[in-house]
Amino acid sequence: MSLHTKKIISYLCLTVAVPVVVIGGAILFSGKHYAWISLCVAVLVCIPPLCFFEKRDITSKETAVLAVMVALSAAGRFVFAWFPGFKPVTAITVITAMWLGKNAGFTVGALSVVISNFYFGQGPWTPFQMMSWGLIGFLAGVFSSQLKKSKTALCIFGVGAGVMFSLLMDIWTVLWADGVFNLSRYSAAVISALPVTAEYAVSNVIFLLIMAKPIGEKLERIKKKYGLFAAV
Amino acid sequence: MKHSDILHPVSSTFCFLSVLTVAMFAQNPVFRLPALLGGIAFYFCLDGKNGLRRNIVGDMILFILVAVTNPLFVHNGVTPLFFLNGNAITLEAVLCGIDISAMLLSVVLWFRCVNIVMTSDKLLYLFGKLSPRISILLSSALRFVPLFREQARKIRTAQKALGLYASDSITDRIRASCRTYSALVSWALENAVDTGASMKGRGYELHGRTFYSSYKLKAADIAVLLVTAASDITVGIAAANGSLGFSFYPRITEPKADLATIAAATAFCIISFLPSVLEAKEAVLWRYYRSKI
Repeated sequence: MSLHTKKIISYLCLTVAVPVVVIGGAILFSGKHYAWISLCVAVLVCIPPLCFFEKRDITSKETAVLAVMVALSAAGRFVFAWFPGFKPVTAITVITAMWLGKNAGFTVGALSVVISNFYFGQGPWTPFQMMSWGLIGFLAGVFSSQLKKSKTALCIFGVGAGVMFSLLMDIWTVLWADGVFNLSRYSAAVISALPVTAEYAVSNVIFLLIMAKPIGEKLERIKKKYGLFAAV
Repeated sequence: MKHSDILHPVSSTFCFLSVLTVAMFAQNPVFRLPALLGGIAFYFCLDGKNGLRRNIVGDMILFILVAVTNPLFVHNGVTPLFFLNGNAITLEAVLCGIDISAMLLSVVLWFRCVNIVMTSDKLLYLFGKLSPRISILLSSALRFVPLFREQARKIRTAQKALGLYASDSITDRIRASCRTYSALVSWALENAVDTGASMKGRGYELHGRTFYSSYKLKAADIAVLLVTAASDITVGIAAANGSLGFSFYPRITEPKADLATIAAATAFCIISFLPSVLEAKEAVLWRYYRSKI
């Protein structure tokens, strides 16, 4: 596909396909099947950033660096396996986004899900997780200058990312089980997931505080030494 | 040899997508039941007794948990069975709970089959047609994961030999793991750039890259595609007719018995049992050929 068609596809995705899916789904299922709609929207939202990644003229060196970051977030699960529930995926995504930009952040976040689900099980939740982690990466890229400057901002972002991920995935759990959004079931899901959410948030903060600087310096060095991601 | 290993990935994916879409989104129990039974049959063909034994307890817990919690949260429906804390537990909510848990269980089972059938090389084969760069990224990341695990083990051993022991305290263990991880990151990034350069040198960015597994669309693959497509069309017509819908609240709807619904249910039955039938046929052939040798 040429660069131009890809650009058109990604714009069409957001401006035409998403509304069509939402409205069409609401008419077809008389508004009862939000799970289907949200699954389709999750897939559609993932297309444009990944399309941009495909479109941008990035070299195989840059691809390899991104592949390393994706693999590191999956391998990190094994390095920290002794620490129950700890997953460095969020932290690695945020760090990548801070130094390599928002599109790289989205790509690493979304594809880390695909890779680590090869080990931990793919499911209908995969596109939803891809969207959630991708968005976390994208946001981290948007706020990269603030996150690099202050540790407080980094902590707040770590907590926010953990909470956001949990809340988003709970929406999916409820939609999947009920088809409609049921507030009492949602609050039950959120409350029962509280310890996990807290664990997420705390481990994100710890990992970001300890690792953001050293990994960031390494990425910075690689960028300078080989002239990678110069366009970012 | 499993039949699903011979089948073209496009055919497998199409069949899985068709079954999963209906299994997830048709509320009508007429479609839920074949999805569930077909999933059980296919999973049994793929993973045999071991898989069933390993997962049956967890699956039953999931089934019962959802079936029981639904009437506790939802008090809609016209047939109260009894009252709990002043809230009615209705027959409709109980049946709806069973319907939901049948859906969850069938989707879990079918996805377990997807995980067995769609190995990473098949997925990369499919991805590679759509987006070569993402497929390169995914395939190198997949190779890096075991490599990094091994490297992390080496780094840990080396650090122990240097005298950097971690005591049992949690902070110490976190710091030790981070130290290992940090060393891993430096090593990995430096190597990655070399890998990228040599990938470029070997023409990875050019068109027409081949894949580890190559598949040709054979007559059997096309047959599976056609059967699945025919069933999809029948189910689609029934869906437009509103036959897939089913509502438990406030009153259980009378099941439709028109031609479109019956045809769609039959077609869906065929595709949900198709994979397990093909698998069974392959197993019989295998046994028959072997006994002759």
